[in-house]
This record gives sequence, structure tokens and C-alpha cells, in this order.
Amino acid sequence: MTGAVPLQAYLLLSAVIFTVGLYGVLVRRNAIAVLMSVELMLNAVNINMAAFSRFITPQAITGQIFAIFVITVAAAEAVVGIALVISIYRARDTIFVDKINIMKW
Amino acid sequence: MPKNETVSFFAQWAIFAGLSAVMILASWCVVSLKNIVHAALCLAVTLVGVAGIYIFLHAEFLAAVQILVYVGGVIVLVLFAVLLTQRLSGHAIRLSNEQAPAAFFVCASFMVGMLYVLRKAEFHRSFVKPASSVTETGKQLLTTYVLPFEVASVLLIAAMIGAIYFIQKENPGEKKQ
Repeated sequence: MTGAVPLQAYLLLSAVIFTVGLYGVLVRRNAIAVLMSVELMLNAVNINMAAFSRFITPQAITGQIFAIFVITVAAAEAVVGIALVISIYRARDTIFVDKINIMKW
Repeated sequence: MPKNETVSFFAQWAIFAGLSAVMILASWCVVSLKNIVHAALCLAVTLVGVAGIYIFLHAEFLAAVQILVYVGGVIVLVLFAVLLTQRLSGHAIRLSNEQAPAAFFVCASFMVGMLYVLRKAEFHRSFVKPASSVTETGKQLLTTYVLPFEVASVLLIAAMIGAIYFIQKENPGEKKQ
């Protein structure tokens, strides 16, 4: 495979998915949906990493290694985030982020 | 260009375009569907699409990791969390806050900025044959990147212990009376 699709196409795809995820983070009320949107954004970044690794430095796969670490941290973030959400749900009986305003100044 | 290569050229573009369309549609569903369970399933579709993009980019190991960690782990976790808080995900409840227009404006301007940068940017594409993903990743992870690799394992243990601590009941010593 010689790579018919140029780098810009991957970057564009990643930008679109990142933007959609950003919209979800800003708009959703359900905390779990916010977490899912964050996962979308992280995946968009990972597409960028893999694309740059393939097109700019095909021999050194630093981008792919970085993407693996991003995936690891994203998994840890999902675990802790969901544990917090469930704990908040137990304590306050809601997971709507605009209702969880006890620390809002 | 020989006929075979032309066919492969169009096939690659067709696969890429199809995959991208599915991923963008599914990610839009993630942020807009009323039913959170359906949104989580759409997130799974998007993540599988990302794995497909990785295979397209000769990052086979990354694709395997993506399927294992995201589709096998994170999605199951999210579905569990959704089911544990299911009572709140009914249809009658308003699902987006009142800042949707402002958020839309922010996202649109971000997208315009990205398009501007993408049009201006020049990349020095290298035409070297790509390294084998699995072999090279294994080598690099255990030589150059061995310290971050070990730190990542500490991070995972910390996340696991932290999650268990958050999830447990208030007084684990006292059983229900």
C-alpha cells in the first residue's frame, strides 16, 4: 500500500472528531456523556499521532508509542472518572453536571 | 499509472471515505442521542472506526490495543456506569444545557481555525518504507521508553486503587444492620 490518502485527510478527520467531542463536553448534562465525549477527543488526538508517525517519520515510531501512552492514561482517566461519577450519584442522587454545583463560587 | 494501482488508489480512498463518514456520524450520535445507552454504543462504533484508521496507517499494534482497551474495556465500563445510573437517562429529561449556541459558536470557530492551519501547513512527507509496527513498538517500549512504560504501570495501579476507594461504601467495616 503506497498510501493514496494524504496526511491532510487524516488531520481533517481528526479535527472534525475532536470538534464534535468538544461540543459534547460543552453541551452534555450527563456526566457519563461528558466522559464519553472526552474519550472522543482523546481518540482524535491519537489519530493525529499515528498519522504523523506514518507520514513524517515512518522509521521511528515515536508517534505510535505516544499514542499507546495516551490510551493508557485515557483508560485510567475513564476508570477514575466513572468511579467519581458513581460516588457522586450515591451521595447526591444526580449525575447532571449543572446540578453538581456545591463548589461553585 | 498502471491499472492495478489506479484501482488500489480508488479503493483506498473509498475505504477511507466510508470509514470517516461512519466515524463522524457515530461521533455526532455520541453527543446528540437522547438515550445514553445508544450513545455509548455509537461511541463503540467510533472507536472501532479509529482502529480501522490505525490499520490504514500501518499501526497494527495500535489497532489491537485500541480494540482491547477501548472496545473491550472502556465501553464495558461506560455501559456499566450508564446502567448503574439508568434512572436518570429517561427520555423526558433535558439532555443538553442552555449553552448550546455558545458551545456551537466555540466549536465552529475552532474548526475554522483548524481548517485555516491545515490549508497553510506544509509537511515534509517521508517516503521511507514504514517500520514493522509490532516489532519496533516492542523494541522501543523496552529500551528507549522503558521508564514511561514502568510509570504507566504505576499509574494504572494507582487508578485501580483510587477507583476501588471511591466506589466502596462509606463504612466498609460496618455491615448493614
